[in-house]
Amino acid sequence: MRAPLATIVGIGELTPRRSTTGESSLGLMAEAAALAVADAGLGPEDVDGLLVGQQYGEIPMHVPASVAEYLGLRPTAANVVDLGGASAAGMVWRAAAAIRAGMCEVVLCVGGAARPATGFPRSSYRAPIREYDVPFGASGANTTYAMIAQAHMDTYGTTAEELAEIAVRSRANAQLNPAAIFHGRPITVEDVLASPMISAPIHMLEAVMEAAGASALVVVSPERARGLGRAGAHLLGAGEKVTHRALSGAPAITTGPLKDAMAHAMAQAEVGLADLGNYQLYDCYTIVVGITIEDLGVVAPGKFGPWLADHDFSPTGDFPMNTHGGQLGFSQCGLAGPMSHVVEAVRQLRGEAGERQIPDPRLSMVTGNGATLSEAAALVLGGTS
Amino acid sequence: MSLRGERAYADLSVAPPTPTAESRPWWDALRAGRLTVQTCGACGTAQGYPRTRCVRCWSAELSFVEATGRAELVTHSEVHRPGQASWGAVTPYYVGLVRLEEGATLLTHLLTDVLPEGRRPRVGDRCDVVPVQVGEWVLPFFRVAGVRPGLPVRDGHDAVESTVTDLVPPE
Ligand SMILES: [Zn+2]
Repeated sequence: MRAPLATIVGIGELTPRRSTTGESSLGLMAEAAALAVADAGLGPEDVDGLLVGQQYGEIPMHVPASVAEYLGLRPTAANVVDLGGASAAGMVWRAAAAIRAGMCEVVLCVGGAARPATGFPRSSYRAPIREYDVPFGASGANTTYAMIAQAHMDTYGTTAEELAEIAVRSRANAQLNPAAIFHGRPITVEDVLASPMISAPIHMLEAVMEAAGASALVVVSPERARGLGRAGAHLLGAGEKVTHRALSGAPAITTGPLKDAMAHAMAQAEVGLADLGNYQLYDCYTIVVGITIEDLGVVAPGKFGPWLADHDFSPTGDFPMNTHGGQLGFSQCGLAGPMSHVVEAVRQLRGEAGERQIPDPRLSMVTGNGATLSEAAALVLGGTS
Repeated sequence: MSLRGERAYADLSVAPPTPTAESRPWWDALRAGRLTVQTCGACGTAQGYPRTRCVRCWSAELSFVEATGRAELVTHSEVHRPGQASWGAVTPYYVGLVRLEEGATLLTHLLTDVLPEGRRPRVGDRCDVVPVQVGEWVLPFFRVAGVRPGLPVRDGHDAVESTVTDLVPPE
């Protein structure tokens, strides 16, 4: 294992809720930022780096300046990371790179979204999808991921029950997380298959629920982390890959760029599959978890379905995965959904996951996935003690 | 199973295409009933949607070549709840990706009206282009023929999808 590249020393996460009544996304992000900076044992005056995500609706442009102004920050390095669900994982290595480049020392990574009952207007012009997908009746993530799932079923014989099982297990883990939006609401395979068909083969209970919330991370150098005297999580390796925007541009349908991103993260960390002890894998839809497990090399392409029966995703199982419930159980609150996988890894590595603590978390594999299984970022994280 | 043919779409009021200077000739050819594919004179690549440069070698030597209109189904979904409410008038319907014989992959709307009762589209199905009037525009929909295509395997494509014939489970 290599020396750490950087250290996550603070996490902050708001409890997701179905909707907001007048609050701004900026306000929610500020709450999460305050929690994360306090958790790190630092103050606002220490923050000199800022990474934020795209904010459609409320802040279409100049997001770093808007967030910095709201929080009274004067960062010496600031950027938008616009990789959809891969943005949070993508922020962590960018924070490390900015610190190592001498641009800043304490980086705040923050994402979140309010969710007024009326919703935010989405951009009406999204080239090239607007020209070549929307006019044919294909619009939105549901149909895209449905086509990915259908290809896996037609090609490999993956069943609806196997896909549903992933949603069931996410909900099961969410029962151990009081902050999860589906805490107190476990489901069965029958429930998933009886839920409305959105775009075949995806049922309603196989897609994340959108919610309001915010999350933040504080990233510093390993040297600075030692001085803080607070447990954290070391960044040992990262990988990233972007291959296309619309699914018609995908080099392959049933495997994605996370395959290369995860391999890069493990190679950079100088670790192998046997070193991993927990898996916080991006899960906007059930099929993404299956494909990610295959792309990680845990099971051969096309075989995740039969593999499920012999493996256990619970905190005490042989393959502890999305122990916070994943986004399928926790909810997707803008970029705080993707960031929830990073936050959970830090909690597990610190030994602060409470009732859902993995006895021996070893190293974490954390993934992010954006757009149409096309924007990928992966992190290998390890404990600091 | 939808028995809807191409005539069902003429009165549909949905978001129209948004042509650019690059894509205008492609849409104009469709209006004349011809599916073309932008092809590189330098390396021969046929690309999915028109661009100013070849997606593979960045040559600007591009021309619109008439496509055979034959394609293989790469994947598909039966849409029950469309992302755009205006498509609710024709739900459920199929969309999918088709790989043209020339090698380019397009997203399209699938016509399933000639498939036998109860036979759903499958990855690997042969498809044929059908220019369909949707509002003021002519769009390249594809009819699922329901027979195996026997298209040659091409370099650079997902090997998994090129061997689907042997792997499709019985319905
Ligand atoms: Zn070329």
